[in-house]
Amino acid sequence: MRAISLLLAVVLGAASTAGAMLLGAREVQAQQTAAGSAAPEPHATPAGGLSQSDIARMLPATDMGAGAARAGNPHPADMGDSPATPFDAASIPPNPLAPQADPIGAKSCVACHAQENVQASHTLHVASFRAGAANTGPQAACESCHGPGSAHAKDPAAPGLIIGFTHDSQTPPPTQAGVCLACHAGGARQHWIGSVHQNRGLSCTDCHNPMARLSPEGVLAKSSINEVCATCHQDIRAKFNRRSHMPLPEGQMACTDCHNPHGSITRPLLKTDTVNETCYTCHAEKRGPFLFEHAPVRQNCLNCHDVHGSNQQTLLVAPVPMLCQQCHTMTLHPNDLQSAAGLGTGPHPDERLIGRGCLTCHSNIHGSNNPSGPKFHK
Amino acid sequence: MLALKGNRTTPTALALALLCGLSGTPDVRAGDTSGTIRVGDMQFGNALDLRGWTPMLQPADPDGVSYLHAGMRRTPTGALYPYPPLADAGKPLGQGDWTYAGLIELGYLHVGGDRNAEYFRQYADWKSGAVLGLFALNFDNRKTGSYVELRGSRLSGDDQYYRLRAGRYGSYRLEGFYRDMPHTVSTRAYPIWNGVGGTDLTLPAPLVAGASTPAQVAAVSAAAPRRSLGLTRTRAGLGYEGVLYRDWIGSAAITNEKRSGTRLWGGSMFFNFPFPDDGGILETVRPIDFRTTDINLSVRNVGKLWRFLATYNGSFFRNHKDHLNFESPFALYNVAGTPQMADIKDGQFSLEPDNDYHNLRLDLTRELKWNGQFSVAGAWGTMRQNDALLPPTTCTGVGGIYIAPPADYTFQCANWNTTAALSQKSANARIDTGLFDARVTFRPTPAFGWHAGLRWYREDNKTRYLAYNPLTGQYGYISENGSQGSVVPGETGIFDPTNPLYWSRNVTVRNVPFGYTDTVLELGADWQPGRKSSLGVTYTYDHNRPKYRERKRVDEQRIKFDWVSRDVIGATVRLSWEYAKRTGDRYNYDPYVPFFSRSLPGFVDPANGLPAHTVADMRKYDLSDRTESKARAIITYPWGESATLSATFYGNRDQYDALIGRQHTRTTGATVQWDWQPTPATTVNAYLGAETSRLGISNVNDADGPDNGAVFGTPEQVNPNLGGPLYPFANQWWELDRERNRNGGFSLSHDFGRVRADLRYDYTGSLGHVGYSYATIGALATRDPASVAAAAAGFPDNKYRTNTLDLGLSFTVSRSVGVRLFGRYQSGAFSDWHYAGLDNTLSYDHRLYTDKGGQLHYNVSLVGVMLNLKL
Amino acid sequence: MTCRTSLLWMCLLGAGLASGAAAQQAAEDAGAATKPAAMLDLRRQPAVSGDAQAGAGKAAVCAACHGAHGVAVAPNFPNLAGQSATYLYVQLKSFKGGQRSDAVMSGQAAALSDADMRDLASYYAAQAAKLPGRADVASRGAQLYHAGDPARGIPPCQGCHGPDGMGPRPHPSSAPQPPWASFPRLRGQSGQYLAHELHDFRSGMRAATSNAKVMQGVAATLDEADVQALSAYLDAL
Repeated sequence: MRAISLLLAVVLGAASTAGAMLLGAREVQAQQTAAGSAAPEPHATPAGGLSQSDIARMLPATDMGAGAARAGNPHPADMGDSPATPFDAASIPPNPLAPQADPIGAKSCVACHAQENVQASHTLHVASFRAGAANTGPQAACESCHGPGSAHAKDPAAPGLIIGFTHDSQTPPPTQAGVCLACHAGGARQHWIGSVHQNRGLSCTDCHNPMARLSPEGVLAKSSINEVCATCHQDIRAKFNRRSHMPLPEGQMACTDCHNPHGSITRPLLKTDTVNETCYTCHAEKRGPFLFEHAPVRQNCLNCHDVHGSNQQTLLVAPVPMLCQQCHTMTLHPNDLQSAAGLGTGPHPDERLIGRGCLTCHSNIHGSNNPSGPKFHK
Repeated sequence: MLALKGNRTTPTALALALLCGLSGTPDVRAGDTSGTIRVGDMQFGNALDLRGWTPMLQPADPDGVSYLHAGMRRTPTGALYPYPPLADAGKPLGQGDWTYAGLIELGYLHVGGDRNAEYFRQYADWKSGAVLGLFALNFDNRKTGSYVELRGSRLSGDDQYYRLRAGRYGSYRLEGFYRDMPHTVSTRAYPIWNGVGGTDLTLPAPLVAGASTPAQVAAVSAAAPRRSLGLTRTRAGLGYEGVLYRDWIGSAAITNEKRSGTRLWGGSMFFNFPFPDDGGILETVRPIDFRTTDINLSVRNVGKLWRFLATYNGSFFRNHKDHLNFESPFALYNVAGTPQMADIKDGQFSLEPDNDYHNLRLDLTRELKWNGQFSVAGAWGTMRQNDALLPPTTCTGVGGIYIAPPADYTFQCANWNTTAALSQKSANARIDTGLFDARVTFRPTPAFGWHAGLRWYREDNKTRYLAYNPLTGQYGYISENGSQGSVVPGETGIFDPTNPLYWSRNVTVRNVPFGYTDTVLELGADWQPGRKSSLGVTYTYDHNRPKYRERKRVDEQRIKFDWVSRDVIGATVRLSWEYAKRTGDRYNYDPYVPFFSRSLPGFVDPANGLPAHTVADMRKYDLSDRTESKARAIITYPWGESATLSATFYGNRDQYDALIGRQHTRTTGATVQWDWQPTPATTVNAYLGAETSRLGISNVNDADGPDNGAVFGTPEQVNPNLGGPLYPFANQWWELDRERNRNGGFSLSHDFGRVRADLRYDYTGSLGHVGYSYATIGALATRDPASVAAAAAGFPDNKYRTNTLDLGLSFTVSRSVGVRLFGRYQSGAFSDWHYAGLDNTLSYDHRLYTDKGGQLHYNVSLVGVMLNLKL
Repeated sequence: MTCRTSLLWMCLLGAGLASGAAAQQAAEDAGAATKPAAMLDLRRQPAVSGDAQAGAGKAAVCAACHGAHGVAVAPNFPNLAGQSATYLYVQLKSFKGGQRSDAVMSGQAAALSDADMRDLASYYAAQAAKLPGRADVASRGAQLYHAGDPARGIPPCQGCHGPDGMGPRPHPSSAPQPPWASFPRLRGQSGQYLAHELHDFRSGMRAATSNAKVMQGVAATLDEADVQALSAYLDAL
């Protein structure tokens, strides 16, 4: 029942937001046309909410011949009321392999790359770019990522004259990543430099592809997150098909639920400070702290569990009681060798072997909050 | 309102206020999403459609992605990008700039065969009936970049998801979702109790608690109806991310999870194996009724040189069924002294306590000269729990054994079954964590770079508990619901410095507040000998100082080499090899003396001395000396214009320097995959994988029986050494777990024009063999001739195998209507010696089990017809 | 699988196939009236070669319009001498397949076999091109040809047609390449013919091959003055 009221809140909230946006769109449009008629630029309409000082702070909109203009005149024309939008502030990255190239504008690119334009226009990345930079003269949408295009336009067969992001481009992966990070730095990508994926020469386009809507979300290079990771990490993906696993093969979890592939401060690229904190995010009941703790649990969940998949019950690395007998060699009942004699079909069925073995009595194995629980019986 | 009624500590109001305040901010600068900052909820899909949007990806655009070249390009590594779907321009919505596009796929599913197979239902609630395959609706405003996206799917009431996203590109995004995820734990459970799913398990009619015979229990168990055990996770969340002001981007999210259902559990009334017709081992069923509320807040500022990120994560866990009471049917009697039946029949568990977690982290990064970057992170966290403690026992009357005066090993339950018997009424448990991480990276020339990092992490456990009963002045606890002390005199779990019967009992009286401090130093460098290759080396020194463990210092040094080449006969090859050596200070096999009653004043050493806690030569494998080497190769080969061949090879070798304990682990594996996409209409994929792994341990049985040394109970029992009288070499044993995994599959999808056919086959198989060897039969748990003969035969192999065949046909009836027929056939085999014999009976003397385990063989088929409508 | 399940499976399959067939029939009936030419995908077009000697023998009838050695008799006919063999082959195929239509050429190409087309193409490719002229390098046409006009979104033609109008200069690469061999040489081509073709590209009359789709995008950026300037420049080149 609680879930329903939360859902109701979500739906109501979202519906009212959507309604407000749809209604508000008309107002914004009116605002734009009104401002547009007053603006000096004939084909420009300002986006709402920008102040003069904001615009002055931003880089000027790309304009044709910008290279030549800047070379000759270090003080480009003042923007005035010209409506640069956030996406116009995206700079055009220099191409180290074509330092003399000048920007030519998206229209020239689209003239030859018509089908690419059709595909790209429907991706989140380019569509948002177009919407953001919609009305401010020549658009830099293509060149904000691919660098200035004049050299490539004159000799498209020569590799390297434009920043390319695919297998055969001459642009080295660090340059490619640098282009994307010019806008997308920070946040989840704050630790990209020095991360293992960066270190192995991966470029952003190994996992992402903003040129076509291959995945409706995340601008990915394959149709889903798990498929992207499984391109290289096939063995980990195969492990998830084992007897006990988390619901990744059932489509309810993704590798990025636990890992941040863009880099993080932990060695396995986890999103939290330690392995255990990642596990506790979903398995909060194991967090405790309990009155009586079990040392390997508190130190690292991976001491007993294989998180990607296991042939034992509940993701354990070894069958019970062998798992426990790696450490429990105490006097009396822990250190007896349990053999086939102790099976349910054996001559001497033994509670330390059958079913859940040790855990049938020591059930609170992750820690007990009971005053009589030092041995996790309670 | 937001489903947090029982939750007084959650700052709901704060979160809501933040959300409201943020929603009215104008867009100033490009805000970009960072959904990968918080854990969870990145994938919405289900077993019917793994991706969650597969119908939206069909059909592929026959023109491909360019008129200038055929085929698709490859990622820099060499994998092919798939052909994109036909772009959908959407239909205009009214007169304005809004367009919409949508899809609804609904139909009927029929499940036949062994639809209750445990491994078939593990994470999917397959049901015959109507299903909503996908409901997707997108609204876009090309002019302003605003959008609203809705997506949902429903397999059943326990397996569904819905998500709404709305926002404006470059400005903000609002998200709300609701999802149900099922998890089946067992479909062959036969619990005998009444009240399964609740906190009180009571015995059914003919059985009397504490006074039933094994035959009676077996009869009731055989007649118990079959039940399925499992749980459903229901999650709902609300989130916002957007530009706050200028370069500041913030995000706020609140998520609530309800987890409810049942799981297998246990219950102990002392051993049965040494005492026939005594003790009690019960596999009960516990309730799961959790609520977890997570709050994630972040704010970041990305500038030209500086980048700042602050995140707060709060998690508030509430357990609505935090105890489990169960009745034991079995009668207990004492093994020494005047025969008497114990009045012990009720058991109790404290289930997980409510806890709160806070974590605040700050990350700061600055760009430096020589292509450098310096980043520093600091985090502070705390986990707290202060649940009311349950009394040490629930027995009533008298527990323990009365032998003869003065050997009165009884205890009054009234002295132990109220909270007055506790030294503190609530747990007052707390662990604080602190993290500091600094790293610096430089790349002075394109061909050379180096980095250094330092990480310090501490976990400080502040929980302190002394098991002291103010009513009696005694220390300790009541072990196993009072059963242990009622079977073996004096083993109740009590230490009493004033009572000769109890002043030599070594029992746990304090909790061990485990914690550690970990410092890691990393140095690395890499070179680019050629334009397309690089060689790197990294050295790591991990200095760990565990608290209250067998070692005070554990150091690990690791060196890792990696080589990447993006052009080895056209293929990209990534190799890495690492070697690590772990050492430490002196290993103290029993550091727990201060936590036992032997450290309390008034403890009198028993005449024969205290038996050794454990064998001194054992090394716990998370602290032992160890050498580890790992190698891995990932190869991606672009094969022609439309195919890719990729493979991975990997292996780990761990060698533990321990006579007793984990000895070694070893894993070796390889995978190979072939992908082919000759045209936008055809995709083919085939893969194979194989992996073997081994885990070897060694242990030693103590000489506790008349036929394997008979040292326990004599003065020689204090000797902890392997080879000594208590742990003789003759009782040493070894166990090796060998597992072999194979998987393979094939998939083909072809679009004939009006019809699209897809076929998929997957195989997963594993074979596990647990083998053991022993110096003499003194190592075995039971040493009678029948047991010895059975032991010599060894465990049967464990098997797990599934074969899945999927076939689908999609017909395009018109431009906006499609029909999809699909079927799945899955067969599986499973065998695990833990469940050997449970198919016949779940009752073995005083042991009662509930779960018979997964089905040995199963065949399931699924047939469905779906109608696909483009909106 | 139980009997019931298989039966259900069969029924559904049958129903689906029946409805699929019915829909297909309906679509065919609807589409039977006008059937546009199927698009010719040139993206994997390899370079063609043929027997130029044999081609010489078959070119007799072509000389009436295209001249004895491939230099056209009148400005409305294109010069074929020195043109890329693959391009010529593809054009003949287009005329035959309906992707291009011309009152005369469609009929002429209909009679040719694939081998004939290759031979003819090789013959004309081997002919000496029209002598280079002196074009005005400062003209608008030259500027458009070499640098395009970024302000108007016009890409430089030299990218695909070569810096001197003699066809593209491909670099070796492992990336999927455009079918360079099928891109025509423009140097010395008849200005009137070029203008006519640019108009056709722009209007969509000539848009049924993958290359034509590219040119359609390019021609859309040109206005009438640009078309005339380019044609004049290339004619004089």
